[in-house]
Amino acid sequence: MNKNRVKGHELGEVTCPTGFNWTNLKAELRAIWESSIKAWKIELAYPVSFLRQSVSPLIILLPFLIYGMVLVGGRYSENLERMVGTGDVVTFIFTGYVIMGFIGTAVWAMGFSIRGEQWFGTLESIFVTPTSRLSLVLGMALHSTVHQSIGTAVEFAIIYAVFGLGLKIGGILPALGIFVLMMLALYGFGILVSALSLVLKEGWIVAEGLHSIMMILSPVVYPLVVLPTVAQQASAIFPTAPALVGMRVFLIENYQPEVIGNIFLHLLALDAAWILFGILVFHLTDIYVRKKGSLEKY
Amino acid sequence: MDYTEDDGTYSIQTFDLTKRFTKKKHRGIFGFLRKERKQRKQQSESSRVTVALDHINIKIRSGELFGLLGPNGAGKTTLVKCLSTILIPDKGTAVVNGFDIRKQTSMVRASLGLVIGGERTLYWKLTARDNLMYFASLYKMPRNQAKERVEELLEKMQLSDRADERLEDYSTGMRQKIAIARSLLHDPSILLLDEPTLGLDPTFSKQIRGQIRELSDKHGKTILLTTHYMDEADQLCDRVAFINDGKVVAVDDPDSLKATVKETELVEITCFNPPLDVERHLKSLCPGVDIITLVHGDETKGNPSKIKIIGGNAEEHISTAIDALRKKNVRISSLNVGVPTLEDVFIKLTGAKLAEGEGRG
Repeated sequence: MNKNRVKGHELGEVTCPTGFNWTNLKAELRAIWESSIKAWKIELAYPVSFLRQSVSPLIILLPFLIYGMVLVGGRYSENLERMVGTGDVVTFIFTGYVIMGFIGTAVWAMGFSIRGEQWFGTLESIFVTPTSRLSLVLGMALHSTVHQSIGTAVEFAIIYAVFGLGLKIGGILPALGIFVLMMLALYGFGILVSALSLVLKEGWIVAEGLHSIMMILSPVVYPLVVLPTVAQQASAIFPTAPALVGMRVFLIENYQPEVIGNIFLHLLALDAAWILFGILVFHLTDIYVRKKGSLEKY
Repeated sequence: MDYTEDDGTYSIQTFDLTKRFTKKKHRGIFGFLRKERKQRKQQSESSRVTVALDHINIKIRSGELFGLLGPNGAGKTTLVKCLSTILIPDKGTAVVNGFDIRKQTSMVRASLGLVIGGERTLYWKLTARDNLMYFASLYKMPRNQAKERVEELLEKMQLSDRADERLEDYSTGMRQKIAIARSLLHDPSILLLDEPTLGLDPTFSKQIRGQIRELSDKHGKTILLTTHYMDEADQLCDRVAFINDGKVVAVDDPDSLKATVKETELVEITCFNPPLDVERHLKSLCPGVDIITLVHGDETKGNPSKIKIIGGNAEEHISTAIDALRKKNVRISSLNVGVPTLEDVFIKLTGAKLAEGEGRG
């Protein structure tokens, strides 16, 4: 060994903050933020794809609205009014559609963020840093949530201008409270899907299945009462059903929920359950793929 | 074995580190319909298990530049991945910077910088500066400190003027420099460099070797360098471990290793178009020679193949070997009686070759 060599660090010395302390928490939050910014930069590097993603939600929404209006022969449905107190098909569908977008955020965008890193070839590079894996997933979740929120705001402006929406402005704040609780549970769900996509390389099949199940069991374009009793009961395990009912209570005039319960408590319980379950599965999956040596394989 | 044994002078220690992989046998689209006999199933299951690391025990001193030399598939990358917590070993463990790779993963990750093979380990759609800034945040550096460090590293890598270009516009060598810069962002005490010069042209290889040397000499980094380029290991490393089929077959400094074959003679015949059975053929003609080996060159690119004759009486057989090769229409371009290299030591110890071909920088 070269005797003139400069002495480096002491053994056991690390330069990155670790452990449970404010400095480390701040660093993790910054990693979440920077992961989100990184995802934006990559997304904007593909302008055509970005444009398609910005326009397609509106294009998907229009057939729902037109189909609904054609079926009921106008904007107001007496049948819908009998079931939920409001007959405004457009407002009913639009509020459901907003949530449908966020289901996609959790299942597809967030669930596949890790898979995306596998495709880029960068998964090992980011997993070998001291940043928590969950922070990496949450960073990508932040990006997709902001993306979806901007899209929703644009949709809202266009639908409001073209069709008009019968919304109670005063209900926006409590509806946002419900929305935040729903998103927390959906994040837990997204963490679960991202874990599954690490193990099952064809994770989109699982994601598609889960997305479809959640769509069927959520009152997006129809009220829950039209579903069989078993399906109505099963819908309680997904945050979207109580959240949609709750948000419509606050947002739509004369809306009478078909399922009355303590929505806030229900959502809080789902938050805890989905987040803990998602993290547990993610942790176990991480160990499994590192044992199996399949982290970088796609 | 006491896995916690640590006298404080080693930055990396492995204890019986073992890793096996089971490879899936692809039986065709309708393979699942075919029944396999029990005996055949058991046989094929055992043949599908690859022992990538077989009870590896190495100790790397603080500040040492340690080379891990072996052919492709010897287990070098698996070892690096275990040490960097990308893989969990099946048996044994390792202590990196005083932290157990099984139990203290965050501390291990914070302790080391990793340069791992593959060009796609960075974001090609981001600029070099954006890549480094992003990874600085993952290494938990405050923003201002990160900015300064990124500028400093870009300067060091002589890429400041191209820092705002996307990596998709960079050459392989430039991307490798950014990968090295990334591994240095948080100023780790340990660097794991997995084949850092693989696929680079001679100019970039030389620059990167110079940087590795500097990191060791001027910054006191502990470096584990894996390579299958013998001259790289010989040139750079304080000590070298030979790894073959997942086992460490020798560890020592390059000079001591070479001394083990010094007494023996080495004849190297550089030639084109040698027949595939040349080793067997020459062995039958040259009794008493320890090893005869053929290292294929990429002859289409003008790089000749090499036949090495190693053994106590190798020189006596030169004329026999030349005659035999001429009879087989082999075009001989040069002949050397030389000093054994690290590759010759490796060949002597394992009977295997380090690298096929010489077409590199």
